[in-house]
Amino acid sequence: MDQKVKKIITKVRKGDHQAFAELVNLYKTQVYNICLRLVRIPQEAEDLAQEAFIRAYTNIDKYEIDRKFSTWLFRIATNLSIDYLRKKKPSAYLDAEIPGTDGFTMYTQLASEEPLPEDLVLEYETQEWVQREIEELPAKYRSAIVLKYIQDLSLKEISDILDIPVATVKTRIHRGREALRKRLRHV
Amino acid sequence: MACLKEMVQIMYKVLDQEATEVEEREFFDHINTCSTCREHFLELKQTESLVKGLETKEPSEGFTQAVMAKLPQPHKKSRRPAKV
Repeated sequence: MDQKVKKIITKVRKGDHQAFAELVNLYKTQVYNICLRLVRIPQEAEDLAQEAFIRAYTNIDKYEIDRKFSTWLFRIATNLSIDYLRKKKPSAYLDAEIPGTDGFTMYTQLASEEPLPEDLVLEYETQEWVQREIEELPAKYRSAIVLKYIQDLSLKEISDILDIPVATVKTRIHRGREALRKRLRHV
Repeated sequence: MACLKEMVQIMYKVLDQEATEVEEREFFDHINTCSTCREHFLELKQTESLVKGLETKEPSEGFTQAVMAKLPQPHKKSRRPAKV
């Protein structure tokens, strides 16, 4: 797989525009699902996923061939999605850490107190409901959770994609999982 | 009963498959008698399976074409090398 990808990238770098389509085909499902689980709305996820590939293409010379291509690509897709959410959601203050609490936010505070209304559970199919609850997570927990559980990536890969230490990845997964637990326990 | 913070840390290790055998035994012995930790653990397991259970969706059929159409065009000379 890695050798195949490297060959394609070499072709693209030499100006073989069409070879890039092979890369898109190889990774489009994963990239799309990362975007989809981060932003939830299919059309927006599709636009973001396309944009991620376009950026990968225009920056292909910056990609270090010895590193894993998917890590680099997923990083572009994650960053684009998170940026998009930041611009879209004015509720950033909920994401702000409460000083001296080591990553605790107003959001986690609220989430833990708020029971999920029963009719909401009935209203959505489980999938949609789970997706909505993921969307309610602060962005930094959401990206760690999506990469771990949806893409099944190792802590090391997640740490490379998000550019944070492995220990921080763990903390975010633990906190994100706890916040989700509080919202998903009323099945 | 309010459980020690350490027990929650062991619970996370068990979930992340990072616990030692001793820790695992200690944890499962504990949740045999502590319903608070047992509930907590089961809820976390359930959360994991709900999130993992999200289906993989496919992007639209025209995805690749759409990307290719939006790429900046390469220089003409690299597309078709001139015959000498």
